[in-house]
Amino acid sequence: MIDLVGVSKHYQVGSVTVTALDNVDLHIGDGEFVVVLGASGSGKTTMLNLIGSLDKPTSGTLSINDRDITNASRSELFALRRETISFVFQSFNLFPGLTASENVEFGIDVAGKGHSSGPEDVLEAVGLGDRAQHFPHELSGGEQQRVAIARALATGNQILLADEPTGELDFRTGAQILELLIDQAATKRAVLVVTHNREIARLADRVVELSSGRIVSDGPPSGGKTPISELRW
Amino acid sequence: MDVMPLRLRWAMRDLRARWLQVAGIAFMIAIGTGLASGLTSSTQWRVASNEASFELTNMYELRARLGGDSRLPRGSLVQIASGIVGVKDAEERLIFESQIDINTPDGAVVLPSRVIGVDMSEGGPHVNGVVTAVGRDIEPSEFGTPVVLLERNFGIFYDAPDQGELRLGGGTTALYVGQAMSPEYFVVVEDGNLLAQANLAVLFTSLETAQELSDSRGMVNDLILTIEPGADLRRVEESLATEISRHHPEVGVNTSTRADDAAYVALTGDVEGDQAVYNVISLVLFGGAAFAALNFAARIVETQRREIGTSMALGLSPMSIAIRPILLGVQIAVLGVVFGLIMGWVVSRMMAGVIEDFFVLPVLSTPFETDVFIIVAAIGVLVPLVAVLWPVYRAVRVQPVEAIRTGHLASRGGGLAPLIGRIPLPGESVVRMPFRNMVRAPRRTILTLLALSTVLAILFAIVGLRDSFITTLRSGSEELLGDNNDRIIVQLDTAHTTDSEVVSNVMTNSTLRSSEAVLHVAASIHSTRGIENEVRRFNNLASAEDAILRSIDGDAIPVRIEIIDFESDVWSPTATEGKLEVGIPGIVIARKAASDIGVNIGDELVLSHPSTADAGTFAVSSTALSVLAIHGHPLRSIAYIDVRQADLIGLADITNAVTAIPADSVTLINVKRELFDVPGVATVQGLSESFKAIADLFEQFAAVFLVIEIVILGLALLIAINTANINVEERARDHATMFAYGVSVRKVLSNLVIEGLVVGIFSTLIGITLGFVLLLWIIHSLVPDTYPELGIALTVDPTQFVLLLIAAISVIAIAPILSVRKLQRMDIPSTLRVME
Repeated sequence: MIDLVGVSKHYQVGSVTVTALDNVDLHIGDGEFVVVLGASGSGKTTMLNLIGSLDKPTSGTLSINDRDITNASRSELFALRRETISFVFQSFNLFPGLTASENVEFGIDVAGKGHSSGPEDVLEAVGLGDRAQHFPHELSGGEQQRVAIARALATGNQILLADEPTGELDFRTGAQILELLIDQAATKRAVLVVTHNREIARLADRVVELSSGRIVSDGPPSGGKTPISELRW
Repeated sequence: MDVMPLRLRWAMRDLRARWLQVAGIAFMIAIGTGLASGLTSSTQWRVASNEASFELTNMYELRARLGGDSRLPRGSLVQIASGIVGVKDAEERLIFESQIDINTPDGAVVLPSRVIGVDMSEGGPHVNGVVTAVGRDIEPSEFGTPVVLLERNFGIFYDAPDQGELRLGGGTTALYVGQAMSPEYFVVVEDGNLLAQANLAVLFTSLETAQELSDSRGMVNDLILTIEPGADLRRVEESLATEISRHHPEVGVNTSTRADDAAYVALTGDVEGDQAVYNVISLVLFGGAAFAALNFAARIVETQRREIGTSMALGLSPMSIAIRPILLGVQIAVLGVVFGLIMGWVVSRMMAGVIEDFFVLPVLSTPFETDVFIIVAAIGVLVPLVAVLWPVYRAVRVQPVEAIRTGHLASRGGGLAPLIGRIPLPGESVVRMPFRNMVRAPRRTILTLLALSTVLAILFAIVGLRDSFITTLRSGSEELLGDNNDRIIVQLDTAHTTDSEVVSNVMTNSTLRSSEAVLHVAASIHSTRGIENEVRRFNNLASAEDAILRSIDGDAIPVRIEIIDFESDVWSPTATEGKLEVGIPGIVIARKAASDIGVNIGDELVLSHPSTADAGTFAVSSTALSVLAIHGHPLRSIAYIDVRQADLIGLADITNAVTAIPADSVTLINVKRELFDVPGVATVQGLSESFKAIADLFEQFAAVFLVIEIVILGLALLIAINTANINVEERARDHATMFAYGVSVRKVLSNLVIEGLVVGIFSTLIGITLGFVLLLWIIHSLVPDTYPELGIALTVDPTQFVLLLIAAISVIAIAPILSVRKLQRMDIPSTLRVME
């Protein structure tokens, strides 16, 4: 589903070239719940942006669903995002002018796949059926993130990318969000969560650890996959 | 700890980050300050130039005219004046009406003319001086010879050479040696019509020459004088009228003061009226700029609110916190005033050019008005500062914990905003976003609407004013011309019986296809009772008319009655209300006259008018008449009575004018020249010529109006661009999220355009409403004070209106398109991760 072959990303900051990703090879398949772990500046967000087609690699090949998107045009990338990839952000990024229901409806409208269930159903699925008509500022942080996940799910896209999705939430709320994300992997979606929190990594099928732009480990979490109830934050 | 340098540095960084918006608001302030200072300077110049010109020429304070054709020996009027306490200088004149035939670069011009003979000896005249603008003065050796000076406004209008020859009524050829100015003709006003230089050639000459030309050797008919400081003008006027009547009971006398002088009233009254309009325009523009500044400042302060909260948490005092956003206001104010001073200078130079071209005054002073600029600059500084203070006050009032809360930028919207936000809207969620965004922050939306609508209000008011004036003046020309653009009026030297030889000679002239003898008389209309019938008898019609005009007071209106045939094949007025009944005694008046004295169709009014009395004399009578109809001419002073009812007011079978249509293939100039030499003819005038000056003036001003429209539309575009810029910046994360979900730049941009379109439609509608109110005020309050004679019909040209509507809405709607580069070049990943 997601293939990175020899992918590097360099940034030019003045006269200095900064290497954010260095010759990374990675394959993520359907139904995988992958946590990308690393300290600040390790390159995990850069990798998420490249997979999300928000950015282009400096070198290497990036394929989504066996399609090489390394040199795809801007409009092709827009279409790819519409049809294949969904995002969940650390600070939710809900549209403040739209109600929870309308934010989810946005996901349905954008993907244009004629979703069988309406926004209320999707909100119901994330436990917010009674908050559909509330505006973002009328919801708690956890509720807002659940709306953001509902919006991502409503697209029906196969890849779900989450950038520090629990970063602004307390433990209990964060756990609820993670449960929702894990559930998505069970529906054959590829779920990629970027975090610096090692505890979250224990929930994953697979943990990819980055350091200085390189993958330093890739495999099941050390100590094996852990149920949410055993997490310690 | 001295924190000011840091604050200043910080504020400078704020300026660098938002220089485009700061410059935009500053430019709006600049347009307000620039126009206010430039336009107000022009008022100062006009006042100063008027006063200096009146002083230089020593304009009369009191005038006495002898009635009709009366004349008195030279010296007799001055002698009477010298015996009256309070009189300072007095000079006699001889004034008579004639005709002029003069060659101009555009061909020969034959027009009515007025010859003003003044005492030019010893550097005179000393009252109502005659200042030669081009050419030379008349030499003493030329006194008594046909040497004259052409009035300067006439010379400019017809582009007449500085010197040349002309032919006067009676066939005398005269030499004009220059073009001159005199206070009664600084602007030429005749029968209430401004710009009358197109239809009237005034000639200044020596008293001796005027006497020779009019065959009135040694005679005068006019006295002008100034009075001693502190003397009671009214008392001197009464004494003068009494003394002249006592010494010469055989002549009628009509006195008037400088305040009654048409040119003086037009020059000074215009200034006040124009300044009132300038004040309103400046005020509204300042208002628009203030709303825009307030909107901008409020948004900036909101984006700084988290930092304000942090500063509060760190223990900074509200005053110290407020310095940074206030410094932003100072930057706007300073930039606005700097731009404004530049713009003010440009506007003032443009206005100086207009004044120098338009006003024919011997003294034209257009210096830099420092005091005006200082006052306007002070207002320009205060407006943005006050606009910034309110949002700053609101910001420093919030609790620190609230200010630093994540997501504080998600405006909650108070009042009805949450309810309105939940109103179901059709279409996809993306399509609904522009509307949701607007109701989410109603205060911002309202401020944007107010900023745009106040600016557009001026645009619509100006366009409405232009259309109303043009339509009014056009309706006047259409009414008087009817189907015959060639119609002429032949004015006779005095009143004649309709069967007289003079009248017959004119009416049967071979150059005329059809003609009709008419009577024009000065009268007055009153709502209830008119002037008391007088026992006094007058030797001629003009003296009786003078007596009526002198007696007008209260709500009475002076009118010029035209006794005509309502069924004439030459011309008859149009009844816009009521009917032109020939069998019913009554009068047809102007809509403005009916409104001013409070009568309607079928109501009765009292007409005070001259009437024939014994042995060829005239009396003053008052007759009750019903209002038959309202005619289509906008001038209040025009009124008509059917010739069949002339007997009712004692004016049957007399005439003093002939209205006619030239014969086929005979040109107007030939008709004029032919009739010029017919005995008893005073003037011949083509009616279409009357409107040429006004048409020319509006042609000149059309370009000025267009520039004003473009500038105001530019200002609206600037406000809209600024708003769109702020929106794009403020909603950057929304847009980045949309891009992350694959929504195209085009779609995001179209959303912004839709939002602009909705704002454009609403602000244009509000602007039209405010503009209409402004227009109503100008037309119903300001114009009647300045031009009481003119009944302006509030009109907006539908085509112009629709074009303007589309232009205004389009300008606001397209503004977001200019943000396309910002959207295209957005760093999506960075923007998505922005933490406020």
